[in-house]
Parts: sequence; structure tokens; C-alpha cells
Amino acid sequence: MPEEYTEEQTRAAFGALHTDMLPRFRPPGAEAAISAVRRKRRTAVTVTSAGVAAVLVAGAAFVTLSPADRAVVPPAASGKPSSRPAPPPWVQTSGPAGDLAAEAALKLGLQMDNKERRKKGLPPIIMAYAQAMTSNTGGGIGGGNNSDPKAVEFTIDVVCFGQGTVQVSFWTAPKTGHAKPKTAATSVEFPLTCSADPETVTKTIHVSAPLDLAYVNIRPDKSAIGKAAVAHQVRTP
Amino acid sequence: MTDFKEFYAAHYAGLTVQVYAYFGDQHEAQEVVQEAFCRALARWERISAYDDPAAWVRRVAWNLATSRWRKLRSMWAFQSRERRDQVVDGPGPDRIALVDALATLPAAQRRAMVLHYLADLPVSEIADRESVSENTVRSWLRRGRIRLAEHLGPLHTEEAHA
Repeated sequence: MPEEYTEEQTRAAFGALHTDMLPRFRPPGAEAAISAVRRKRRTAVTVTSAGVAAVLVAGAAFVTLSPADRAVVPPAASGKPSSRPAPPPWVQTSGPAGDLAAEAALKLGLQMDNKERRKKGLPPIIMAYAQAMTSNTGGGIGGGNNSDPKAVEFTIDVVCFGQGTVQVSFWTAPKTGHAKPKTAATSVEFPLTCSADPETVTKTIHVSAPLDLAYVNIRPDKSAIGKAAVAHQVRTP
Repeated sequence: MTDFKEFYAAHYAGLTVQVYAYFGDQHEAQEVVQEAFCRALARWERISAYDDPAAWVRRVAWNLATSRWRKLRSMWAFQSRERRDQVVDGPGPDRIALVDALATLPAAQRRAMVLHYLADLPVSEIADRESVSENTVRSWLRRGRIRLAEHLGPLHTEEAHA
């Protein structure tokens, strides 16, 4: 058996690092952060392109959830009625329209607590993700693990918050064959319209072979780049 | 609503230490964390109402760090990079050895070590973040502890003094 540090020794090593390094990282001062944010806001206001103006207008409409959306948000652990849970870790809130990703995740009721789902007799969530649409979106393909050899179908729930249209591809394939969608029964492609109060779209496809993975590819049209965010989850029906 | 300045002062340094342990570079760590706090400030009215605003900032910082790490990795090998933090008033040799040991781990395992032993995140939360099982995270942590033993020298047993 290779020698390894115990939990205690590891925590001690990290604790020493923390003690040593903490004084070296004095915050530059909140004024620096405040100035940076003000500079970004001034720049956003003075740009006159219609696209950016549309983002600002749309952003204002997204700040407050509708009463129906609030029902999706689980109650805060602290019991404070005005507090909201932070987005789960798989919600990518960085980049332009990052706020929209959080809103899209809330709209979908995005969650991956499969222990809770099992307690309620619900099938597991295989894959869950929410991200803002950028010019780089669409180059990657997400693959969800499927550990249930009896699964015969996958279902995707997807919603787009914001403006424009995205193209959604959803299919099953072996792990090594993700670039080769197979039949009409095992794949689906559809446009998804983004809006300030979107409807969740649900599609179901057939699993072609036991333990095949689910793949999702989302490509924004130009109209959606920087102005929309998509949340989706894949589950067995 | 929590005052942003107080929140910033309370959490900046601790989060920067975590990201530094991941990058091994003080400047990169400070840039990433500063960006995360800027984003929090831009949304402060909403973020401050969360149960745990610091967790939001930490997630954003780690998302930025992970994204930036991918770019850095393609630019140079971590081991051969000239360290800007090895100056007279830099961290002590033991701390550099720890960061160097972490640098030999794959990125996901390094993140797990830092999030668990510096940020005190439970295994379950790390597993959720990394989209892996809890057993995988425990395996990563064990491999990390083995790597520390390899790089930081043999284990010493403290003898109690009367």
C-alpha cells in the first residue's frame, strides 16, 4: 500500500498554507471592484447598437420572477421569505447573459438531487446544465451517463430564456460514437424559441442499445448570442 | 442587505488562497477572484439575498479558474513555468512544495483537494459540482494524499514530550 497522508496531516498541510498565504492576499479595496463595475455599466449605456440595447431592456424584464416561477424555487433553508437559493453548481453564470442562465435554471426547476427523486419514486436525472448562449456555444456535445441497462427511452426538458432561437439536437449513441446520430427514433432536432416567459419543451427518444449515452448539442442562432440562456435536463421518462 | 464592502473584505483573501492553491500563481488567482467579486457586485441586490452569497462568488471564481486553466494549460507546461511568486517575500518552501505537489495532479483531482481541504466542501457537494460519484471524489482525495506523501517527504510521528 503506498504511503499517504492522513486526513489530519493533509488538513494540517493545507491549514499551514492558508495561514501563510492569507496575509499576502490583501483585497485591493472594494473601490476597485466598484469602479470596474461602473466602467462596464457606463460602457454598456453609451454603446448604441440595437443588440446591446435589447440586452439591457431584456435584462430588466428578467430580474423579477413571475409568481408561477417563484413556486419552482425551493424554500430557503434559513426560513427567510425574501432569500433565494443560489443556482446549483452546474449552472454557468459567467459571461454575458449569465443572469439568464440562472433564470432559465429556475424556470425549469433544474435539480439533480437523485437521492430525493429516488425517495419519491422518480427516475434519475442523467444530465443537467444551464448556460448562457455565446458565440462559442454549440461547439461541444454533452454526454449524459446512463447507468440503467433497462432504460429504453430518454427524455429531455429544455427551456430558453431571453431572445432569439436556438437549435437543439438530442440523440443517443454509444460513448465512442457520439458524433453519429442514428435513426429518427433515437434522435431529434428542433428549433427552440427563447422568450421572457418561455414554455418548457419536452422530447423523448428511444435508447438504441443498453447503456447508450444521451447527447445534447445546443447551437444558438445569431439572434440569441449574448441574449439568451438555455437550461436542460435529461432523464428517463 | 449585507454590505458589499464588508462581504468583500471578509471573503476575498480566503477565496484567493484556494484559487492560488489550484493555479500555483498568485497573480492569476487574484485576477480570477477579483473578477468574481466584480460580477457579484454587478448583481449585488440579488446575490446578497441568497442564503450563502459567498458560495455564489466561490462558484463563479472556480468556473473562471477552470476555464482559464484550460487556456493556460495549452500555453505552457505547468512544471516548467517561471514562477513569479518565488521572490524573497514569497511563500515558504513547504508551501511551495504543497502547491507543486498539487500541480502534479490532474485538474479535477487538484480542484477536489483544494475544495475539500481548503474550502471545507463536503464530498457530496464536490461530486455534484464535478458531475461524478462520491466514490470517485474519495478516490481522488486518496490519490492526492498519496501524492502529498510522495512530494512532501516521509510522514513524521510527533513524540509527546513530558
